[in-house]
Amino acid sequence: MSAAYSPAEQMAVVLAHDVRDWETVGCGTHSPVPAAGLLLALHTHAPHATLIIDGHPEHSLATPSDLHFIAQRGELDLYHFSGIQIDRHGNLNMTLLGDPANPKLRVPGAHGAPVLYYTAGRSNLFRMEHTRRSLVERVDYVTCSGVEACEHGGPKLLVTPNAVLRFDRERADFVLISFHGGLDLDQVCANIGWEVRVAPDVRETEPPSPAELRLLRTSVREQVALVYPDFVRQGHLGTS
Amino acid sequence: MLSMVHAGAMGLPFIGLWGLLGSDLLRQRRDFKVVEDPFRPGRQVVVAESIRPDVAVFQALRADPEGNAVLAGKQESPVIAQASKRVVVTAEEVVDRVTAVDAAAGRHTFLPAADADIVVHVPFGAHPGALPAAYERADAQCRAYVEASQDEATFAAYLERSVFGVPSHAAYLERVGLAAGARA
Repeated sequence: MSAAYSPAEQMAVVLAHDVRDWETVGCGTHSPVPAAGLLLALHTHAPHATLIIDGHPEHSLATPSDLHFIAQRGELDLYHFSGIQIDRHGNLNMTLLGDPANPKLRVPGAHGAPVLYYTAGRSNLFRMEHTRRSLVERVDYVTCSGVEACEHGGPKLLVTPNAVLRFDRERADFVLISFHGGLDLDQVCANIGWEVRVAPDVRETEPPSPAELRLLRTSVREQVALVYPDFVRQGHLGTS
Repeated sequence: MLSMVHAGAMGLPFIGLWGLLGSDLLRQRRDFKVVEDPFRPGRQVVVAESIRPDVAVFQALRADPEGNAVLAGKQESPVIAQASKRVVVTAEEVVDRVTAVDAAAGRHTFLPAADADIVVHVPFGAHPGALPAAYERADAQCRAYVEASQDEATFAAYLERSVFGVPSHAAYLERVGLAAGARA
C-alpha cells in the first residue's frame, strides 16, 4: 500500500471536516466510518457538537425513537446514510437488488430512512465500495428519494474509498470534487456507474494530517471499538 | 414504522409524516397514502395508518405475577405494548414483585402491569437469540437457521426438526444443552 493511511481514515477525515461546532449530528447502524468521522470532529474542531451514534454507550439517546423525533422537529443538522446502491441523483436503495417483483437479493430495509433523509438538515452519503455495481445510474429500488429530500434537507457529499462527490442541487446530480491520494482520476471515474461530471478545480483529497491520524488511531479508535470491535480489529484505524 | 406504532399507542387512526415522497415504498404499502396537506394547501404529505398489533410478546429478565416486568436494556417495547391489543410477557424469572426502580437501577426498561395481559415463566425464551444481560446469541444454532433458510426444502426440514418436532420448551432446552440440570 502506497498511502500511510487507510481508505477508512481518509473517508472519516472528509466526513469530520463537514461537521460544524454546535451541530447535532449522527449516524446509524453499520456506520463505523461516519462514527469515526464524528468522533474525530468532536476531538478537533467541533467540541460542542452533539453526537448521536447508534449503539454507542455515551453518544446515544434514551430510545431509538428520539432520533426520529429530533429529526422530525427539524433539530438534526447532519446525518449519514449508505445503501446497497446509490445513484447519480442521490437516490438510496436499502431494500433490494433486481426486479422489485422478483428480487435477486433482499436487504434489511429502510428503518425510517425515507423520513430521516428528508428531515435531516443535510445528509452525507458513504459507500465502502467504489464500483459500478454500487454507484449506479439509477437504483433498482428508490428507498429514499434524493430530489424529494432536497425539499427540506438532502444529500451534500458522497464519500467512497476513492473519491468525494458533491451534490449539485440545481441539476440534481453529483459532481466529483476530489480523488484520494495516489489514485488515477480516470480510473476513479471509470468505476462510477454513470458519466460522472468532474469539477473544473478537481484535486487530490486533502489527506489526513499527522494530528488527525494520531487521534483516529488512539481516542477515536477506542470509542469506535465500543460499537464496532470487529471493524477496529480489522485494522482500519491503525493496529494496536 | 415507529411513528405508526406510536399512533397506535395513542389510539389515533393515522399519522402525518415528513418525507417518504418519491420512495418506491409508497407503491407497495397500502397503509401509506399521499394526500394534500390540509394545513399547507397545495403541498403533498404522506399519511400512514396506525399499527395495532393483535399480540405482542416480550421476553423479560424478570416479571411479577401482576405483569410488571424488566426488559433488558433501553428499548421501545413499552410503546409497542401500548399499541398492542394483547401483551404476553415471557420471563426468565418470575419473582414476587418488580418495580420501575429495579428497572432503572439496572439501566433496563420497565413494562408496567397495566400494559401486560399474561405472564409466562420461560427461561431462555429468547434462545437461540441473545438476551442482553442474561445470555449471548447461540451462533451455531443461528448459523444453522440461516443456512437452512437458503431454500424451501431445507427450511421445511429445519422447521420439522427444530420447531414442530420439539414437543415442548423443556424438550427444546434439553436438546440445546440448557435443561435445568445441565446448566453451568
